[in-house]
Amino acid sequence: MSKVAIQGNASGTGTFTIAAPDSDENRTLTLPDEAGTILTTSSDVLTSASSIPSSQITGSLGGTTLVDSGSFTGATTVSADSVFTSTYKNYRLFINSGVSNSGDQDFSLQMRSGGSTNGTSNYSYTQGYVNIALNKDLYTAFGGDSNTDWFIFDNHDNSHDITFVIDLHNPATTNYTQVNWNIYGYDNGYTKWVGGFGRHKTTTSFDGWILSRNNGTVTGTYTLYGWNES
Amino acid sequence: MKVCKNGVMVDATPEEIAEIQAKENAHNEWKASIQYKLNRKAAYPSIAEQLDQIYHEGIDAWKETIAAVKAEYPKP
Repeated sequence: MSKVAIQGNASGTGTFTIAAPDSDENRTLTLPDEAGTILTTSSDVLTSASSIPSSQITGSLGGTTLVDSGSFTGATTVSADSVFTSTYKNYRLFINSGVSNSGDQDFSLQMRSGGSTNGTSNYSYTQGYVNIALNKDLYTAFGGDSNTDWFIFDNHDNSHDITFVIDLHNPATTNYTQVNWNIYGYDNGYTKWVGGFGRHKTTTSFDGWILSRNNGTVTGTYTLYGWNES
Repeated sequence: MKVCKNGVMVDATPEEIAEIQAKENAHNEWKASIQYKLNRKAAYPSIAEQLDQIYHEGIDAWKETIAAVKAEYPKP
């Protein structure tokens, strides 16, 4: 028969009590057949002395999952098909790009399904921008209820990097596809932020996206993450 | 003309080239038609600065400021 020992600590002076709850049931707590430290609701799981091994964490925690990624060089458009599925309700698309063009570059986003771009007049959106040096106010220069794309960034300067962070909600469902974006670029020699939101006014289920520019080409990478509300 | 499809760089088909160019042309024509509005937005003083000018200099001075911007970027 194995034995159970309760051992005090010669250096400490506190009294540790094993207390029963207010219950009429008989219970048995089985100790694990291994050495370790018990975690409580107050434990700091970020310390190495008391942490849950990552190998023991399973199931969904509501985090994001990488769905797709790619790179592009000298591209006039960047697109991906069959990436929005019923597995995830929400997606976040990152695009990091350098641009090469003779003048300012405008970017637009459209949805795709079955290998075709949806160019119907169902893209509703508005966008605002701030140029850190030239504009002290938030400007809402573009938008409308019946456009053929979401015009997401205006006048990005040549030879500067631009970062797109685009959230898409319900693209693969028959609910309205909602989108919002934060884009960090450059305009007239200064850092420029553009934020916007929009909706595709149909209940079409989309499986892809396409980024277009109005001149020149783009070079960079993209990553797409999916996530569900936990 | 190159396009990126699912992470792969490929030559655009003639149909895709036509579609891309048509989209570019439509966008650039639309942008040119509203360029005066964009120029005016960038040239106007901020709302706070305009209110400050009205407070200190009056409506007529503010009208002159706005009129100067409109004259610099006339509506086509």
